[in-house]
Amino acid sequence: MTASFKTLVGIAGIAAFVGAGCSQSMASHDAMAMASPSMSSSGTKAAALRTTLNNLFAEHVWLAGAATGAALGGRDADFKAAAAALDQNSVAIAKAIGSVYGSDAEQAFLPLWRKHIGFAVDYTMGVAANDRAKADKAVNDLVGYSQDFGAFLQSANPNLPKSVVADLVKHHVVTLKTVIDAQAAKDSEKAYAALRTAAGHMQMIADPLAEAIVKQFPDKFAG
Amino acid sequence: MKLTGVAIGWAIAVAAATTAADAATGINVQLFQFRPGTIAVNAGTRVTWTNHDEIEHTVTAGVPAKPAGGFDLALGGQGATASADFPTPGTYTYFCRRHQHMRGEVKVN
Ligand SMILES: [Cu+2]
Repeated sequence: MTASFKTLVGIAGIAAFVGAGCSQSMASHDAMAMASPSMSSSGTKAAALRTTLNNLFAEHVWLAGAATGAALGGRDADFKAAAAALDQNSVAIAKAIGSVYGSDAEQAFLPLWRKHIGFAVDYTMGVAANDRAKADKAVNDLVGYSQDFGAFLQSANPNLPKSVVADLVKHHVVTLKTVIDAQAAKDSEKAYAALRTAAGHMQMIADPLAEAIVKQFPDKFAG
Repeated sequence: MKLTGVAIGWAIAVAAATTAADAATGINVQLFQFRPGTIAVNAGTRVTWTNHDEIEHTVTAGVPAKPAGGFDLALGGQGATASADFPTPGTYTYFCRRHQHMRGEVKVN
């Protein structure tokens, strides 16, 4: 039940994303192209990897939205709990990376991943305090970060071009920023709609990542 | 890169002057890690870092909270190399300023 629910959410998110017809359509097209569909991706192990990554990345957005919503609502205890759960999700994502690329890569990935959460928190705090400079700096940091993240994945997997990954991460940032802005404006309806879009967008990262990994290690994911 | 260290036994070699690093004195910077993370060399050795990531890293003496100031090398992107000479025995830690979880150590005998 959970899986099909997430799939539906994913599809809805993609539809909203495509429907927006924004400049990101190039990036999503590239993302599709960079890991060409193959029979290997339909194998059980490949499907399991894809499901794992989709679940973890979607969870990342739900928990991030819960954390920023609590922060902007002034619910301290709630924020701390959400942030803690979000970090557990980060550790799980790093473990998934480690399961493919080894523990050294896992240890390098985790601080890098946590960094973008730190920037998102900075943005949230900037917005909450009406501190434009802080919010702008956080956005710049996040955009710069997308290059680092792209470089990391490209180093890990030549099937993941840095520029494509960076664009996808940028879009992740933009979709989450929309959530935070709506939360700050106390527009719950918009915030939750944006949260669904943001969570759905993660499939644009999880699917190509899973495809690229399967393509890189066809033997490991055969069958 | 501005070098602030004085008389602590560092000498910075010009990156362009270095040739391909040999296995014993070369450190690869890959997947946001220094590999190997710890290297042991004899005094007087020139150590060369080669960047395999398509992003800038630095090789900066010390630890983030306390840069040692001895050297601060920029590795501009994939394929970039930089070197430092280690004339004096000791243990030299270093990190990347852009990604401060990246740490390494040169043990000079
Ligand atoms: Cu670095």
